[in-house]
Amino acid sequence: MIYLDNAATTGRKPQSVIQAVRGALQKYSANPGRGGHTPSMAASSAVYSVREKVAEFFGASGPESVVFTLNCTHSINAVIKGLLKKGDRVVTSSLEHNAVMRPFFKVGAEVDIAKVSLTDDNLTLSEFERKIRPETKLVICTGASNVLGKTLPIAKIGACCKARGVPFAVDAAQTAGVIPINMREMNIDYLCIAPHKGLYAPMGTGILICEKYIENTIIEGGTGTNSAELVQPDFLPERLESGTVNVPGIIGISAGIDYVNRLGMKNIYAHELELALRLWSALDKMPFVRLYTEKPVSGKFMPVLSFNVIGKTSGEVAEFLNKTGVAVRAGLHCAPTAHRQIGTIDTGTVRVSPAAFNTAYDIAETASAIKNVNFI
Amino acid sequence: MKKYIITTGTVTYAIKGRDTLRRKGIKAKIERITSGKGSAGCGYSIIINDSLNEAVGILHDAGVKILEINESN
Repeated sequence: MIYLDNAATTGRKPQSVIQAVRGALQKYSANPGRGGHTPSMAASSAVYSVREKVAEFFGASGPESVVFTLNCTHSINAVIKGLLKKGDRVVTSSLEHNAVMRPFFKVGAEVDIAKVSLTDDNLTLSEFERKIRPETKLVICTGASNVLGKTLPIAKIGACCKARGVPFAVDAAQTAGVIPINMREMNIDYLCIAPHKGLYAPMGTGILICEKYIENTIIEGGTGTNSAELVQPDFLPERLESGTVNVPGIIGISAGIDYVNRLGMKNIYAHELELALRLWSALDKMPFVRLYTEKPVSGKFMPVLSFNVIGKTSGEVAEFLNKTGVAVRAGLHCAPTAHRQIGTIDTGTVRVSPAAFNTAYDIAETASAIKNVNFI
Repeated sequence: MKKYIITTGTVTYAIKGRDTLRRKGIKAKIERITSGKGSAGCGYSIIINDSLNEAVGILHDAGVKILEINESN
């Protein structure tokens, strides 16, 4: 099977990650941060070392700001519900995932949407500058659209937020591990990460890095500390990390970061973008294909393409490709706001997203299969 | 031997503190605290035998939050 749904989760985990997870189950099956016995302390040390690695990888202030969560959606919920209450104003982009939009709705926040230009980052920045008001409580946006691959000018938006004194959160589900993120340099206060995507870690892992305090918690419970008190501890990471953490998954994150560092993030990104460009160029020549992603340009796009075949639903195309041995995703990709912007809210799109393990052969086979879609 | 118990509460700060002190040449280890009368409950402490003032300064600089310091023999 040619797997090209890596924007959902990377479909082939490196052997080093698999071995690390298996090893963790054997070595660290004790609860970290709970007991004082040797196995618990060994697990605590192992988890701590991953916090250090994550903090360094993303330019965070220290290991204590690294919170392990269930997934990126959990991280985003912790930020939005932790900082906003009904009626609070928040600024976000027009390309957001439901991981952002649904918590806004649940909280009852007043949402100001900055329209993302697919061709001019300065226009996008101007939109954010215009939408941020004195009463804005939070700016949160995706690092890149999971539908169109378009990156947002995060460093510039971060600088704007800093100048206006507004906390800035980034949904880095599509970008972490693929393009560099430095929280310090980009003025990011909260970074939400899906390690099972660009960091090749197991599913069921998530990271939230907090450089600022979060007032309200969404999960309370045992932290192994201050146990006589009914209130959550006021220090990170425990404040936001109740219950037993996913130690094998966390060790998998560590191995995933090592994998990305070994291959080199620049090399991975260049490889993936080259594959995306090959497919884009092939699809651009097919008159029955409607491409929604602009030509993928380095630094401006992630390796994520959206298209439709005229006269077919996105579901029909994905099903046909699945039968021919190509795994892609169809539909709205949990991001209806992006589809409203490009006019595909009723049809969805077919999405192709290569990863480090994909090859030019995969792309050629996929393009060849798409040529035959019209015969179904 | 004199023993200083520097309570950090969280294991994350305890490990950070221990590792930071060791890098600065101060012997340190971690002990689990269990609930006691008047305490906030379970947590973790960094144990050192000397150089308390220097250690507290190092921990402060490293951003390690200290909840309390006790001394025992």
